[in-house]
Amino acid sequence: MSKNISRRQFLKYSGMSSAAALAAAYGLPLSTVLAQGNPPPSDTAGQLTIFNFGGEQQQGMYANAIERFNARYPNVVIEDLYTPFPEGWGQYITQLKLRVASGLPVDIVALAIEGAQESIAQDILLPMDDAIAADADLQALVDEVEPALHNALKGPDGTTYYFTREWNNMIIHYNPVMFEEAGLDIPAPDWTWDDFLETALTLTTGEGGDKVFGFAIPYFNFGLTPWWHTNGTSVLTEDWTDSNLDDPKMLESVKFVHSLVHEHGVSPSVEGTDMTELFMSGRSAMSGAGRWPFASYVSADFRTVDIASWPSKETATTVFGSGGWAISKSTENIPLAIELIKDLASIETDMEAVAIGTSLPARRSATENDLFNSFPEHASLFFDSLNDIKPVPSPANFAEVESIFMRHMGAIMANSVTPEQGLEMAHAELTVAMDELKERMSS
Amino acid sequence: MPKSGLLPELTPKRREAMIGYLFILPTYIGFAVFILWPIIEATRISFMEFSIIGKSEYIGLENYAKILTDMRLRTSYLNTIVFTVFAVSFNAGIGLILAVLLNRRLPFLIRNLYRSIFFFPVLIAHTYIAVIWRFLYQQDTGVINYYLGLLGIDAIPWLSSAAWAMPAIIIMDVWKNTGFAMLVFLAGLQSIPATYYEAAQLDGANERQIFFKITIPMLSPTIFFILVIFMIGALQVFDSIIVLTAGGPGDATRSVVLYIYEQAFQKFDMGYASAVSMTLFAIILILTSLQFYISQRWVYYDE
Amino acid sequence: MAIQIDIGKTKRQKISSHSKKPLKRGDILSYIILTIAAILVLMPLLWMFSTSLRPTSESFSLPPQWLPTQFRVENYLAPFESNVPFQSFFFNSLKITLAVTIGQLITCSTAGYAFARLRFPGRNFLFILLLASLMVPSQVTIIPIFLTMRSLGLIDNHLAVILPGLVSAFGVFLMRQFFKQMPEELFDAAKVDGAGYIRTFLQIALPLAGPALATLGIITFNAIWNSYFLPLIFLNSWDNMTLPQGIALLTGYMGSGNPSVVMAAVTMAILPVLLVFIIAQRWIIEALTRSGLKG
Repeated sequence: MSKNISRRQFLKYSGMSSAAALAAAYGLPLSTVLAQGNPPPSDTAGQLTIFNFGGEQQQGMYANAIERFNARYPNVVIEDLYTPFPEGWGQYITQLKLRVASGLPVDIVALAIEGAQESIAQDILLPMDDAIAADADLQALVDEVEPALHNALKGPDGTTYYFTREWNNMIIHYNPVMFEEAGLDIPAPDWTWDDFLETALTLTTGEGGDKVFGFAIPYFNFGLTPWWHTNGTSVLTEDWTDSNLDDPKMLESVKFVHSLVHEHGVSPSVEGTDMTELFMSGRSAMSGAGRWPFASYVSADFRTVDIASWPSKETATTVFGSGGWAISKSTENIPLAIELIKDLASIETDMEAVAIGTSLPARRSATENDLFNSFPEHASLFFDSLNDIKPVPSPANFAEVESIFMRHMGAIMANSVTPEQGLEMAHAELTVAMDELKERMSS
Repeated sequence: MPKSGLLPELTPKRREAMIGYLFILPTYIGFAVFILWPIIEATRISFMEFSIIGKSEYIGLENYAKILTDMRLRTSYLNTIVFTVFAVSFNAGIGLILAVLLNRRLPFLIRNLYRSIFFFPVLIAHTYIAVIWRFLYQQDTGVINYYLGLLGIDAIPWLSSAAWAMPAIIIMDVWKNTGFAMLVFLAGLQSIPATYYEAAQLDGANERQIFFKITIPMLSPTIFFILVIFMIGALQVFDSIIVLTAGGPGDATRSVVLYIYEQAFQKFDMGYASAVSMTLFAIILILTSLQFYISQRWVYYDE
Repeated sequence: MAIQIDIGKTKRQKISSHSKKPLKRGDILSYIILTIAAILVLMPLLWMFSTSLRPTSESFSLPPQWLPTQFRVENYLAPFESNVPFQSFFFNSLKITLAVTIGQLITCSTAGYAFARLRFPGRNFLFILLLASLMVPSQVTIIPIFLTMRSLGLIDNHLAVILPGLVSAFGVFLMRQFFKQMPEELFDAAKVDGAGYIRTFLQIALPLAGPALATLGIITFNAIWNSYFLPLIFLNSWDNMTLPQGIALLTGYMGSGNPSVVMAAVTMAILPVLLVFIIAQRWIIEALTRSGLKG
């Protein structure tokens, strides 16, 4: 069969509804069938189901994208299935797997990096490289996004499955008014852990109910990761296949975080603390987060905040996480799904994301305006961090890795074990888990 | 009675039995489809290495063998038992006291007001209660330690220490659930016929005697109910913990169901999770049966 | 039913004489204990309510402000201005909750009565078997239940949440205890009068089960109104979601929603249950005065 016949004609003459069935029937590689990219005519009828997550603002954003799609394809019914921001990625992925396994329609999948590798490993997503090569619009979607973001969601062999939809990093949030009152300069771009500690000590004042802390630790896996990355280490090895918790630099970093609470007293104890709450109520001079608290800042009219890069030890870097759209293998209408992704991931959506303020848009170009750059003052630091950044380690068993590490971190921060003991036990457990993953992947 | 050729002869006993089965039928159909069948499936899964997508394979008793050497599971069981003993005692005990106090002759409005106040926490979901309690419990910036500080007492590491985390959870759980027990006890108290109290008063009994000789025995079916239900619930505690500590710090507040959740949704090992829940099921069943057996000695039904 | 009327008369006399008695020492002690307990329970709730009326930045200050200092009513309007269609989520919740509550009142009272007052082979075994349904956590049954719902075609259908809710071992157990607690004489009298089993149930047992039914109704209404896990798994399309999911959506991406607005939504969400509570409480009292049984 010649590659030059259009896919539409293929489907019409063969009576097949899905490209996968077609490819199987004619013994063609799926990518070949996909590469026949011609946008379907606007009167095409069909139904597409999106498996989606987010808060209520995200839902509004994507509802607008769907409207734009329906303006182009009025006869297509879109079912946008929503999970309020997932309780845990494990539960979200389990739901996705259940839908796919029980034959319920899923055309487009929205996932964050934490679940991306598992979804790829389960082989439920369509590889998109050929489709991208054949479709200039899709290529544009890829080109307009920073390489660091796009590459983070690729499969282990470099295959593209996901189109980036949003991302967030970790950056220092600080209260410039409190800095001024303490006679401090704003943090320099290359400030070190020592500079940071000194600053935090200066900013920690008062006692008891009046105590103001220098830094409210963002105490969750993603929020702690900058401390590892800036020390040139990480929970896992570079290729995300083995535990790295026996690295002396991990011990050093963990001890540093521990000391912020227990030795220097610049941070409140971590359990039950929300760093954004403390920061917004003026109980802490600094905190750490991505762009997401800015929506809260705006709605609470809290304006005394600016951002600074994470203090460095070995390197000036930080961490990021991102989310993307992929097409499910079980889809029966690839061209329509592709068109829907174009609308979901369009520049309009990015502009809305900028306005909402909870995440960073996939395209840098969406941030070159006043809306983004007016608040905070140093908003450019967000995208600048992409110059030297690493994604949060997200192997296929991310949920387990996170669970093991945070459990031991919790014991360390509660002084149930010393950092040495905690990391040793964590390393042992994590090694077992990573070995199990390797076994699962090879079978 | 003339025999009908079609209908079987219905003795009174048979009629009673038929109506009995009829009355339980709606519940049982639903039970068979939505509860029994899933439990049987879950049991089947417990003998497998289970994958939602891709192949699952039977591995016999491997999961169960793993349970025997699982130290973390042992810790989870210990935590669960500690929680159960304290939570059930306090929930039932305080609930009973509140119900008895509220059953006295108080002005109508005050009684209803108090009843509503105590029941209020039951109406709010755990997720949102946790918002308050985190603010109360936070070691350095929380309310309880603030007031303790004013009294000159050192800050207590409520959620940030292995020693205090479980007590913190128990306190929150009691705050939330006592009203529930109170409500059930109130209904039970008000079902006790006045004739008994009147007869006792005529006999010259004082309040204390009335309470222990009439109220408690007449209330015993309700007390039994609360103890059984609360115990079954406490042994499966999940919501109260996950919103406050998620099992931490370390495994200090990890309950069995939290451990099951972790195995099922973080480790994606549904087979092992099912096996663990089978052991929990067995333990709950044994304990509940024991409760029923012992109840024959202290629960008084007017029969 | 001459006996009933007599008891009623005596009871009414008793009430009036009770309220004229002077306050005893026991009463004062009761008041003190109750008031302390009420304050302990009320404070955190007051704080939640106050939080719903002021900006987040002022909610976490020490000393804590238990009473509202501001009255930002906008926080109560904000949920309706969000993307969450609270009206339809509210009606979804109402529909599901009413269906399950009424359904449970029927299934649990009949089953409870049967286990308490009727004899049939295997009664004890079946009862313990039913209780077993309370002993397996939902985390492990959710996958089989999902697959069952799938084969019934009920995914993303309210029935997926309603049908399982109609089975309640808790409710059956509760009703059983109450029916067992009733005086034997009543049923003996009914038998003597020649009443059949069903008539006895409908005309004698049920009317007396007022407190139990009201209690079960309140508890069930509250549980289903607040239930989150089943809707989370089964109801994913925007039209079908329930109130708790709506509030979770307000909490936003990584918790970036406005906590004060969330608290306002939570406060509003409680009102229907509170209403049911107040109505059911009243019904208990009325049922009691009618039936002439009181303690």
